[in-house]
Amino acid sequence: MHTDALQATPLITGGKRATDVTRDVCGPLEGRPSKLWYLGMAAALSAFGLGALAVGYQVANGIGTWGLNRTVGWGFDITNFVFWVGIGHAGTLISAVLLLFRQKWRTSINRSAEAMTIFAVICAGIYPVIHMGRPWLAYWVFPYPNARGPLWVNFRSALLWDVFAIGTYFTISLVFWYIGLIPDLATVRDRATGLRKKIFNVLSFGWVGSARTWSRYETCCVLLAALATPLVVSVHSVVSTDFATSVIPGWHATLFPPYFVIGAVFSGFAMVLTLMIIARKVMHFENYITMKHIHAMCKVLVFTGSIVAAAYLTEIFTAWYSGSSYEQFVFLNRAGGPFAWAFWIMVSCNVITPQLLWIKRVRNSVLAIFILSLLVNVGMWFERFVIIVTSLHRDFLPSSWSGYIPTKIEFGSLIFGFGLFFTLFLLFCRFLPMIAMFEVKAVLERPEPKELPQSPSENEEVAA
Amino acid sequence: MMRRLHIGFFDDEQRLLSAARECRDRGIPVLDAISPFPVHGIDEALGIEPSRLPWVTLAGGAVGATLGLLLQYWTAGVNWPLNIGGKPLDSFPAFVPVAFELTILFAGLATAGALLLRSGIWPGKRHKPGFEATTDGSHALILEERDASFEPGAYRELLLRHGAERSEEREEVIS
Amino acid sequence: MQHDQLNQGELLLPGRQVDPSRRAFLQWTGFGLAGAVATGCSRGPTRAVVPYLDAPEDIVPGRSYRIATTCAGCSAACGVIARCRDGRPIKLEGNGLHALSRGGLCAVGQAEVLSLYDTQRLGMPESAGEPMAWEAATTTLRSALNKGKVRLLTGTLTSPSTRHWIDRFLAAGGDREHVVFDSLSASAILDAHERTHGLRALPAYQFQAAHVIASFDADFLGTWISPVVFAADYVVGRRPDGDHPQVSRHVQFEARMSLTGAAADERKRLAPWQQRAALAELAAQLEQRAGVASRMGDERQAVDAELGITALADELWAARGHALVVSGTNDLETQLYVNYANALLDAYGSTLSLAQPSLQRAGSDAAVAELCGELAAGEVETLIISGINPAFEWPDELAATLERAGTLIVHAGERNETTALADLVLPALHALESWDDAEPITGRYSLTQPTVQGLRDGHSLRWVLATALASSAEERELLANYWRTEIHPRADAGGNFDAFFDRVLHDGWLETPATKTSERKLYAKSIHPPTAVVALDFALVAHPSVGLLDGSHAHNPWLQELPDPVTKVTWDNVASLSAERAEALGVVHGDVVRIEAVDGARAVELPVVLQRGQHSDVVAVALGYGRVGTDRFHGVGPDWFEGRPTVEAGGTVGSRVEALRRMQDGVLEGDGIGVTITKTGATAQVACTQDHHSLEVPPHLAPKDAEVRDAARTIALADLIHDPEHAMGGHGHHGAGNSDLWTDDFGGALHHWGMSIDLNRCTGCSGCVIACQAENNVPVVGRDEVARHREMHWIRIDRYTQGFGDATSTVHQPMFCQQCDNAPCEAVCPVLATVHSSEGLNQQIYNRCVGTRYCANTCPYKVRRFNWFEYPREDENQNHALNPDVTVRSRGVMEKCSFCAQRIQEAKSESARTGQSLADGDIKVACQQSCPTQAIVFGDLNDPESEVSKHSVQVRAYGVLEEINVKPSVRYLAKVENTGGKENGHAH
Repeated sequence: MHTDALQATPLITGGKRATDVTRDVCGPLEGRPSKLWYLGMAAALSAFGLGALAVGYQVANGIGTWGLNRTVGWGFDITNFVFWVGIGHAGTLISAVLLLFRQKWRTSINRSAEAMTIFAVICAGIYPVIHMGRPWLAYWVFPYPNARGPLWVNFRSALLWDVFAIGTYFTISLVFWYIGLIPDLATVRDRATGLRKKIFNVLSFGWVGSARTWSRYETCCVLLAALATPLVVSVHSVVSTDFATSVIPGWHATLFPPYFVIGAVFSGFAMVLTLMIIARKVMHFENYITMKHIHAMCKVLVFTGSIVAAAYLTEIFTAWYSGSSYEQFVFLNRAGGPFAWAFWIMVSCNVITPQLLWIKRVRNSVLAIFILSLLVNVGMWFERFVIIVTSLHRDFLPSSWSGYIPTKIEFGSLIFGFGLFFTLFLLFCRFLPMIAMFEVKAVLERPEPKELPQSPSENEEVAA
Repeated sequence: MMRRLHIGFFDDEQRLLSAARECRDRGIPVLDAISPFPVHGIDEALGIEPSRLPWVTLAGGAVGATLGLLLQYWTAGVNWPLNIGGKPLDSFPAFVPVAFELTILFAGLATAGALLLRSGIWPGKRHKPGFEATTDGSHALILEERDASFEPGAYRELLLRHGAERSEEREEVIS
Repeated sequence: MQHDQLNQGELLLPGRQVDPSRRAFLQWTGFGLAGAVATGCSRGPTRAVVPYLDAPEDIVPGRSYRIATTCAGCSAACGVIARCRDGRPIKLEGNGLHALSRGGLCAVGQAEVLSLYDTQRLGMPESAGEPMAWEAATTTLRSALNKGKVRLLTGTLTSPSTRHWIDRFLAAGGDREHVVFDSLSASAILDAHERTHGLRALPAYQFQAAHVIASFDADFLGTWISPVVFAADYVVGRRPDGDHPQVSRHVQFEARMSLTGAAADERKRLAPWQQRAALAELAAQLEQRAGVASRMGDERQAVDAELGITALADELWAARGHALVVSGTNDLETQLYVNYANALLDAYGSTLSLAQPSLQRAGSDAAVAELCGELAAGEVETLIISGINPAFEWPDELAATLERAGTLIVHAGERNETTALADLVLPALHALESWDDAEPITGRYSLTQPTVQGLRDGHSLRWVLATALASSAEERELLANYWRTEIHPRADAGGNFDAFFDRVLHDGWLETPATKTSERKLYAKSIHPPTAVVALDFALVAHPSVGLLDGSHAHNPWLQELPDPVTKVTWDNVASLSAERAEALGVVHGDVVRIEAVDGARAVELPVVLQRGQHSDVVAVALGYGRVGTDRFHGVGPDWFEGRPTVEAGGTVGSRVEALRRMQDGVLEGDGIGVTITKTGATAQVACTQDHHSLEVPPHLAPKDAEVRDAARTIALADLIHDPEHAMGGHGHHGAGNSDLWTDDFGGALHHWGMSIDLNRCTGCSGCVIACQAENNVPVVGRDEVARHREMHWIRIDRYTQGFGDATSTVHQPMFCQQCDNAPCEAVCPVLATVHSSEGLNQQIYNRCVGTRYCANTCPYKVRRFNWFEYPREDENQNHALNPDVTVRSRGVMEKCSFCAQRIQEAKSESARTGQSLADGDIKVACQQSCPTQAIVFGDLNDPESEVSKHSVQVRAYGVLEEINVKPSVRYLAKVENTGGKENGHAH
């Protein structure tokens, strides 16, 4: 959809040639990391360490170290889980869906977007495990033959669907990402010497790049993309059924699957924006991640943000139209009850501020976009918090209504996720080519070569 | 036995293509073309058949779906039937998500696996020496000399005519 | 079915989180009585655990057996069946053969089994903290008795044999007197009857016979005299069903909100100082209607017309012969008018009786005042105190006189404020390890027998006195001898005493032929025109709480964590205020206020709790809190860095309000004490199990036409009679016509267990809560956890109030797992830790649970309980009260009501053993068993003839949240309000 806008000026600026791309992308991996990188790493690691302490304390002492109670059984834990799963989605969307749609502007960001997906899913996967009362028995959620009957698992439980959805999502994303890495790993290998060469030799699977391999390789990528696309839709739909399949007012809604998926894309793109804006600064990739890319993502943000807003309205309409006083109460309680503050943070960050991106001046200020993307992340975190906590804390019987005050330990578990995520991401920037060189090389603008029978227009198909 | 190869290195994939096409037209046997990125048109220039990977994907998916459904019906309905919230033993709608995920999982892994197998690449495989440049910016067209009916000079001339930066001859043992 | 056994059998596996003491305990259960004794008792050096040499034929290891005995939790003396396992009582239940309590047992009675195993019970005699042998103690005692003035101070003793030995002790010469003191005094009632009927006695009340009940501050369903019996009688008088509904009309006048007020059809707020005038007015009005010569005169204090005394008089008069007026006040004059009113209503002989008076209260405040005089004068050489704790219960100025006694000998079960002052402490036995008897109502006896060999080296007062009088008889002998000579002859039970005694021991109950005494007449001359009462600006109402009563149970963690049925507060007594008063004071829930006697002498500081329906000019505070030594509960609850201790080290649970009581002209004033109340600015954590006290959703959040939810329903009697369908339909029978999406693959089972709860019978007494806790090994979690809404009780009593002021109406709704057939919790558990049994039970399999809490989130009733931490017992020795049939859950596991699956299994295997098929009522679940009003009925819904099936098709029957089609197996019967002629206050 953004193709026309992007054709006007080259995707990659600075008149880069293939060899320049190799140099620019591999260079940072071979030299010493910048101060900024060390700074970021220090921050990420300390957050990770602090969080790990909190998580350890909780696992050792019990879920009681969280602020949950007989009425509100889930709080930060599942909020974080849904949040991180959501973050992952943009990665797959950029790498798979945009690939299918032949969106060439994706080439310079898809690698890191996919990496983001994988790290986000790792973070997401941790919360369902530590949120268990007896995490050391987490393996019981897998259907394996055992001496208990054998007692299998409950395939009717949305939580079990999660196990399969998240598991599949992680595996497929990882495979897709690594297959995409192989040619670039070969490039790194061929520039490297000594131990690095040995390591990358192993990692690059002995890649050469013969025409036959390339042909199979591309088919494989398209196939994986075609698989990943329905997968990504299914994953957040399944996550949404954790709530949608229950009887709790505010959870029990058929709207949830599409609503969650679009929300995930929304938050995911916001996170990609955040990371790309940081990355192009830290790694000096302004020529590769250009304003074009940022604008494109802004537009996706406005688009998905507007759909999310529509979903909010639909939700409220359904509650009113259902005629169920319990449903109606949930939404009145969200907007006016004890957790109204969270609800209004959610609305302002997800519905109101993204609309500023319609304004060109905002779209042209990297700083503004950066702040907006952060706000969206905040808003989307609160969306999950609102859905989970405000639906639970006042449900059917007034006698068991209660509040929910997160403890320090819970904030620790929140920090843990971000610490882990950024640690992994910075390591990735440092040790792996964070721009898909072979894809970028394929879409470079070239000076008209002499005596060429073909018309350059055909080049556009190369990416496929 | 030995075989002699004539290799031309091009900086631009269009020149590589034109060279390849002439070889095809003149029936000069081309062993392979090596590029830093997929070059569009090289397939028909070298007469490479479209990959059959999609069939692998289909098969993988089918297996995944079948296993998924069987697993769920057997464990929930046959091996140990339990009353779960009054839902019937065959709760097909509830079995769809897992079956779907398994379909994708098997299809994806099968496809990736097939790629590695057919392309003969695997962790730690030694790569062909002498082609470092082709993972950077240059493309290589490898011609094979099959019989004496053709003199080597013509190969070099052809490659250079199509704009190869350089051309070299190699001898390698095939057994 | 495999899964039917899933939640059995983990008991003997030492689970991951098992604490050593429990593992050890589990091993001991394998052995017999000796094991229990060796682990329990402090006597003798040997700690060896030896199996039986000759196994007693009546004890089969692993099978529980029952022993009939009598509850000593208060002086009501209800009949108890002790369920024992391997020589150890593990559960107390009401004795169905007991003609008074009829199988009911209150929370306190249920909790007695835990205090038996209290390690802090006194083990042997002590003098100045030095342990000594009984021989030495007896010597000291004898010498002390030979001094001049000897006074014996006890609480009400319902035991005839003990009274017999007291008489012999008094008769043995010297200046000896027996003074009886009740902290929850009914002294004025007895004194009043001495004046009006010439007999200082407490009448036996017959609430079942009353068509109209006017109660003035008498909490007869909660704490007054004999609540279990009264509640049972009360519901007999309220039968809304059948062709001839007979629902008594109950009007309650009170200052605070009591359980009885909550049950009343009509409730008026009455300040303590208004009561005398109100009853005088009532008596006068009845006088007029009776047309007798006026004794009340015409100069009477004006009574607020709002009280509607005239209307009340009409109702009572219309029902004369079936009317009853009761008052809980300790004001003699007021009680005179109560008697007068009852006499005018021909109540004596029908709704209350002096022919066979109650012996459940015998205390005389006047005698106590006299004793204190003697003590203050230093005249008392020897003071023996048994069974009560005056140093705590008396107002401070009286308590101070105890130190003036020459020798203070205290006979008590545990260390308390009084033993701290004693020169000689004699350990008493726990009721569950002693031989005793009781005569709650004249001529009606029950026996107490040991359920376990003495865990401590204690003795009964009977034995102490007998031994002091040079008797060498042992406990059982003393009791048996008395019964042989005194009771057996009167029982006309045939010749053989041993057979007779064994039968009574088995039944636990004996009724001797009534000695034909006709009702006494009232001496009209004893009634005089009322003297005026000075109105107070603001007064303290110090009332007993359902859990702690007079404070003697303050060391029982179960009772401390039992939510007060009215305030729902645990681990504290609080200052209950009306919203108006709180607003005037500028305080909110949790703010600490200072309550100071007008003379400024003493004060207590307590957190505020707002109470609907309370009189604005009083602050209501529960007695029995602030007991010294309750800081033992410091360690209750988890220890983690944001956790707060249940009680500060060196502190007490709650504050002692007894300090503010006054002994004035021979009357212990508990209510209507003038106090001032001020805001301190401090706030305190109030551990309340219910935050939202009404079925009304907050007005600003209420959807249109859905301001009030209908979980707990009430129906006016008139509606029930004339248009029941509509009246109930008006509440919306959403459940009706719910069609199912699924096919039913699981029909055709033999049983389908279900339950019905009659809200019209439930008084909210909370006996079931403790019954469940005892039966199902529910842990105590401590104040901080309760404040975080993590109480573990499997059954909770939801208390909903509607309206304000006099229009406040309350419904109590026991809520627990509804065992839904379409259970939302089962569908969501990923690991099949909760599944449905073939008999309709929603089973929780603890050892499979990984603790995702998904089930609890999805439960519409929020009845699932999660083990947030490991919750060990504060007193490891109390692990002996654990029920071996029920798994002790570890941390991280979900749990909930199981419909007492272990009892169902037991009954089924029993029927399999005997070959007789299960009959309706063979299975009694714990909560049902002990319910004094039989509000809970459990049975097989597949059997159309079962009581529960019949209940579930009644017109009053409905299922909570039927409309979401989870198909609960529990039906509730709407509460019926007899609004008299008037409109139903709050139909919704």
